[in-house]
Amino acid sequence: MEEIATRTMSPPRFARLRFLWHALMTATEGPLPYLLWMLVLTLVALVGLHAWARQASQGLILTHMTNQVLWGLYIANFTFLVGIAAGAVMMIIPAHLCGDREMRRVAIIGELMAIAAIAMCLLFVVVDLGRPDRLWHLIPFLGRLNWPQSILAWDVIVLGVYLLLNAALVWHQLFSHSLGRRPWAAWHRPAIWISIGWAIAIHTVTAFILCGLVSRPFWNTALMAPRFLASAFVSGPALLIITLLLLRRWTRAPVGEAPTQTLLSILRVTVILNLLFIGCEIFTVFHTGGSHSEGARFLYFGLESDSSLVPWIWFALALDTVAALMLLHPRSRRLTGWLAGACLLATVGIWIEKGLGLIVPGFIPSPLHEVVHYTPSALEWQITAGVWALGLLIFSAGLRVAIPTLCRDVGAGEKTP
Amino acid sequence: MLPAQVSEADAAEHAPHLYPVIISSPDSDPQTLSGVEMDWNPPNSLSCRTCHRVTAAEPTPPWSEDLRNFHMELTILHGDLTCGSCHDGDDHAELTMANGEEIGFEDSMRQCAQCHPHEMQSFEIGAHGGMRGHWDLTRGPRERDHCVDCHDAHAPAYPTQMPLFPVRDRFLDEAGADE
Amino acid sequence: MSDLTRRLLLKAIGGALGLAAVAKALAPLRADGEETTVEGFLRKSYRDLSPEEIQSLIVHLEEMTRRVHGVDVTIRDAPPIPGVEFGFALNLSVCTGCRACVAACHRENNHDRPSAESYIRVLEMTQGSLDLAHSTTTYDHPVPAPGKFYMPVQCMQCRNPPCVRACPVGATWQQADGITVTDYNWCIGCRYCEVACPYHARRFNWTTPEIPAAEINPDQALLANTLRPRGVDEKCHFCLHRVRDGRLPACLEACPTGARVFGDLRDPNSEICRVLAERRTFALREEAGTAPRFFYFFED
Repeated sequence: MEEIATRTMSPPRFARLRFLWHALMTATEGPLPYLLWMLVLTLVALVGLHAWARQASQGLILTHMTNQVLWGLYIANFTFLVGIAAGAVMMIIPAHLCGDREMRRVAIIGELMAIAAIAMCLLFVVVDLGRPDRLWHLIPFLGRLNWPQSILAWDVIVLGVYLLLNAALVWHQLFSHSLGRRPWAAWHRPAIWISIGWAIAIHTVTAFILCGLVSRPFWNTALMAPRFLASAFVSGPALLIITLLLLRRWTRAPVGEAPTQTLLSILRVTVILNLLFIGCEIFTVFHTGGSHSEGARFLYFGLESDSSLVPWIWFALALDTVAALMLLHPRSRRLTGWLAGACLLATVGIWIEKGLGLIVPGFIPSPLHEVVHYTPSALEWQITAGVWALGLLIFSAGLRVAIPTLCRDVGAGEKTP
Repeated sequence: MLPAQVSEADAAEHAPHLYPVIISSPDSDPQTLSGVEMDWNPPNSLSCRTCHRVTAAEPTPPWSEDLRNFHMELTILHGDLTCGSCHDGDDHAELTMANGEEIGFEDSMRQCAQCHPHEMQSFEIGAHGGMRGHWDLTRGPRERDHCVDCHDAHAPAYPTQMPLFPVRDRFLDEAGADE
Repeated sequence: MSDLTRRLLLKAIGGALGLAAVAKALAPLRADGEETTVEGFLRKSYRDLSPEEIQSLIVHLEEMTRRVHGVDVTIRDAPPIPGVEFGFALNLSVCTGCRACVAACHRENNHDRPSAESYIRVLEMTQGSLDLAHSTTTYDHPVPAPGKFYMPVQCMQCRNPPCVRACPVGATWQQADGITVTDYNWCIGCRYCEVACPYHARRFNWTTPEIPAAEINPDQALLANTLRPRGVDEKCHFCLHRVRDGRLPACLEACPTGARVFGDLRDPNSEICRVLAERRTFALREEAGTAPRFFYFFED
């Protein structure tokens, strides 16, 4: 143990640089479909970057947000993606808390997804800022972080730490692998445990941003954090299953059946839990009635002349329900297109109900009961697509570098550069 | 009334210099338009006292035809009040309080207060009637409107008006609003 | 070996093309209407500025107004008056809903002209209800209308302000006289303060405010009505540039019926204290626990 520790702490000179170079080289080459995929993502990201540059130089007037609907598509994607980041932990828990060896071999995929999701979260916060040039005001000690008063300050900290934690974990695993060593357990194991707790924390704190406001009755529910977690443990595992199925199909990555089956078992519970929570929310809001239910009324039935979200939310609920039925059907155990389809439906359903379906009704009606219409502008969609493209770019490149390390015997796969 | 009160209150203190509260003073020579052609200028606008110094006002009710025919622009819509309720019968440029005390127009607020004590009290605590200037009288004076700056003594109902400055928020229109 | 060289070359070309594309995509940033200086970028929060730095900020803002708008303005640093705590009350029985206060605020505080921004919003309420669900802000008919009463809403200068707690960078805070101010040079524009406000009292600058030079109010103070940059939040500050000078707020002076009462809550002889003592006042959304310094009352 002592010896391993010493070896891990002092790798050969320039080993880190060499590994970085090797990773860069691996990520930038590959079969044609991979290169095309990366090219398309780059182009979409560039479109988004251009749109953001226009927004940054003219102001958020280019979005369709208003003084009534203060947050829109960006923050909707933010809340969804915090869920993805937290949901990825559903690979880590079986792998490292339940001793699932099969899962442990592919758990790095979950960490990579968490990294990509958190990166997108931070980007969605940045594109939502009126003064992106003042982002540094959020940096502890350098700026003037209003901690512990501001829940948003808490969120900045937990998201930042979660990103660093996962980046460190992934780096450590890949780098150790490149040296033909096992991860240094004395560091790696506690870091894993912290990251599990932290995954719960990021989503809870993000829920607290919304539910801790006296001004927004629609969000002001103690069920917000549990609901966030339940939906995160649907969308996270669902996206991971899709990723695993795609890897099995299209790459020679040694992904066994077992991890997917484990994720499916988790999903079968959480998808029901999520529907149960939605039902609890609907009962409480509509049975109680009064002006506190106006936001929900806007969402489910429309308010005054605005019923823009009504078709979306019912569509999302239908997707969630169909996905639940499909997942519970024995056919899903066969790990075919049926399962991938069910996961896709669940993810899209949650993207709607936890995205615009959650954010916008917090603002309509406004505290003065003004009903102001919101549909994202074309520019908002461009920036959103750009951020997603960048996130997928990070995830794809990460997978490309990490997949060779997935084989059973550590150190026997890829030769070091 | 009010300035006296303010200075009293502060006189008890070590009293720094206080600027005054200035209540705008109403026109002390009330006029009306008559339908009668006159040779002098202005042709139709007459001071009340021009006639009523020599001709005592008849105790006509304000809704009588005669009164309205002569006092062309004088609308009297002030409860059941008649001219003599407020004006001195001998000199219309003087006012008579209910107890017979004669007061000048500069004191007319006291007369309003006879019937509107609550409004007067609101005025005293700053809750009724426009004002401008300083909240802190040690730093500058305050100007206050008189009752008749907004309420025509003869028809005191506050007029309706079109609201200024319509809301121009994006995506907030009449159709979207409640009603 | 030659294969490796070829691949490296291709990647280098790809990388260079990518960088060029990024530069091209970011081109709109160069056409930014607002200038960004290193000094402005690095400026500290108002609360961390020394008196000399405040002076240099004032000089900078005055100069910028002169250069950009061609207007000479006087900007002061107006700290709270010791021992004073401001309060506001509004007589709902005499407010006619004419919105003169809204217009006065708009002019006084150098608000964006095209969006007709103002810190005040007047609700037309239905008699018999204090539920804002039965109110409208877009009324457009002679006022006061029968069966209606009017409730102007602006910043309540809460003793327990949700916006201050929300701000992640401490760009909005409550000063000793109870006025909650915003540092326009520190706000990052996340709008969480505005989301947190139960009174819809805060406003965001979705674009750089546009004001004709001739209409710029030159009587300005820091944290008050200086010309705001784009992308920052703001709110009613009880006209601190006026009231900390002993003057009345602009909305109050504009009110033709005198529905507005302003003064020092710590002076028992002040008009605001007499209203609080002699009228049955109430606070809007008291149940929110915000403890407003802004009160409403009916006369009868």
